[in-house]
Amino acid sequence: MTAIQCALFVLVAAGGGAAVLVRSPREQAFFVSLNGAVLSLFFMSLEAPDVALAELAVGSAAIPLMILVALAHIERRRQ
Amino acid sequence: MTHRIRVIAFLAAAAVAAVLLLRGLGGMPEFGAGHSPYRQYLNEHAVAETHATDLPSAVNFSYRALDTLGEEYILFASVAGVAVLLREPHRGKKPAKKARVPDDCCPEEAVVAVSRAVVTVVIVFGFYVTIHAHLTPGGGFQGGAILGTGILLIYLADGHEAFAQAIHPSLVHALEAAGAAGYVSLGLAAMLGGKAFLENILPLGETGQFFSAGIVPLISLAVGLEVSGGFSSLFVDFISELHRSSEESEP
Amino acid sequence: MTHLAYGVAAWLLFVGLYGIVSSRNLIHMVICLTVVQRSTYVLLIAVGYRSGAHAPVLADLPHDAFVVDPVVQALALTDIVVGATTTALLLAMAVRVHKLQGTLDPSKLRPLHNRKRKPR
Repeated sequence: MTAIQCALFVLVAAGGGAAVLVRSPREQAFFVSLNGAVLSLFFMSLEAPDVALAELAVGSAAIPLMILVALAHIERRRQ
Repeated sequence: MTHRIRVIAFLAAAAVAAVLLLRGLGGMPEFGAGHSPYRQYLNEHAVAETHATDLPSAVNFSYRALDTLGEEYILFASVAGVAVLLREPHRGKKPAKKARVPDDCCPEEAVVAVSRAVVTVVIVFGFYVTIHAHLTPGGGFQGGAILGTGILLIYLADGHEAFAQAIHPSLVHALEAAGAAGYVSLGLAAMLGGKAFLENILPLGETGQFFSAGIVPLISLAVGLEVSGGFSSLFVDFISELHRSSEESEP
Repeated sequence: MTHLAYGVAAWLLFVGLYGIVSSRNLIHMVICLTVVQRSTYVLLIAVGYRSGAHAPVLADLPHDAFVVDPVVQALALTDIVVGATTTALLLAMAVRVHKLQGTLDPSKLRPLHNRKRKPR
C-alpha cells in the first residue's frame, strides 16, 4: 500500500466521522460533499475509475443538493 | 426507552459486534493480494468474449445484465415513491400563475456566470459518458447521474421559472419510462430471436471501435435515460413542491 | 496495512450506526445512513484491489495486462447511484413527517392514528 493510499484511507475515515458527529444537517451536507470528493480520489488510487466517476457525480453533488432542498422545505414550513 | 438507555444498549451491542467483525475481517486475505477467481476469468476472457474494453461496464451490461435490470427498477420505484410522497393535491383555488419571487432571486453573479457557461458542457459530457460505456470508464449510471445533477445549474443560475420551463415534467417522465422500457425491450428482443433474455443479438464488431460490443452500448443508453430521467424527476418534484408551498403560504 | 484497510470500513460502519441510534433529527439520521453505505463501498473496492495491477479498462493496455477485480467495481458503482435515490426517498419521508407532525425528533413522533395527542 503506498503512502497516498494510506493517507486517503485516513482522510475517508476522518470525513465519515466528521459527517456523523456534526449535529446540524446543514453543516453535515458540507461534510458529506467533502467526504464524497475524498472518496472519489480514494477510489482512483485503488484503480477504480468507473466507481470514482459515479461517486463524484453522486456523493459530492447530488446527495448534498438533495439534503439542502429537503432542509429548505422544512425551514419554509417552520416560518 | 429513553435516549440514554438506547445509546448505552447500542454501545454494548456494538462492542460485541465489533469484536466478531474484526475477527472475521482478520481472516480475510491480505490487502492487495487479489485472489478472486472472477478477476482471473474476466482478465483473460472478457475482452475476447464481449469486445468491450471497459470491464466494469461489460460486467454490468453483459455478464450481470439481469442484476443491473433489478437495480434500475429499485431506482424507478424510489423515484415513484418520492413522487407519491411529495406531490400534493391542490386544495381550493389554484395558486396564481404569476408567483411572487421567492428568495432565490438575484443570486450571486459568479454563480450565474459559471452556471450558464458550464451547463451545456456538462450535458454534452453526460451524453458522452453514457454512450461510451464499452470503451472508456463510464456508462449509463455515471452519465445519467451527471446529466440529472447538471440540470440543476439552470435552477441555480436562472431561478425556478426558467427551470420549470426548460425541464418540463412530462419530458422527464417520458425519458424515465423510455429507459425502463428500453432495457426490458432489448432483453425481450433477444428472446424473439430464440436466445436467452438479455443475450447479445447484435454483431460484436471490432474491439475499440465505437460500434462494437453488441448491445452493451444500447443497454447503457437505456440505463442512462432512466437514471437521468429519475434524478431529474427527483429534483423537479422537490423544487416544484418547494415553490408551490411558498406560493400558498404567502397570500 | 491490511488492518488499516478493513479497519476503516469497520470504523465507518460503527460510527454511522452510532449516529443513527443517537440521532435527534431525522435528516441527520438519513445522512448517517449514507455514511454506513459508504463503508460497504470502501470494503468492496479494498477487497478487489491487487497490488501493481492496472485499472480494468483495457483500451490502452495489452489485453493480457493484470487488472483489479471488475466485478466488485460493477457492484459498487450501481449501488452508489441507486443508493442516492433511496436516500432521496428517505428525505421525502422526513419532509412529509415534518409536515404532518411538526417535529423531526424521532423520540417525539407519535403514531399517526393516535388522535388524542396533538403534534407538537
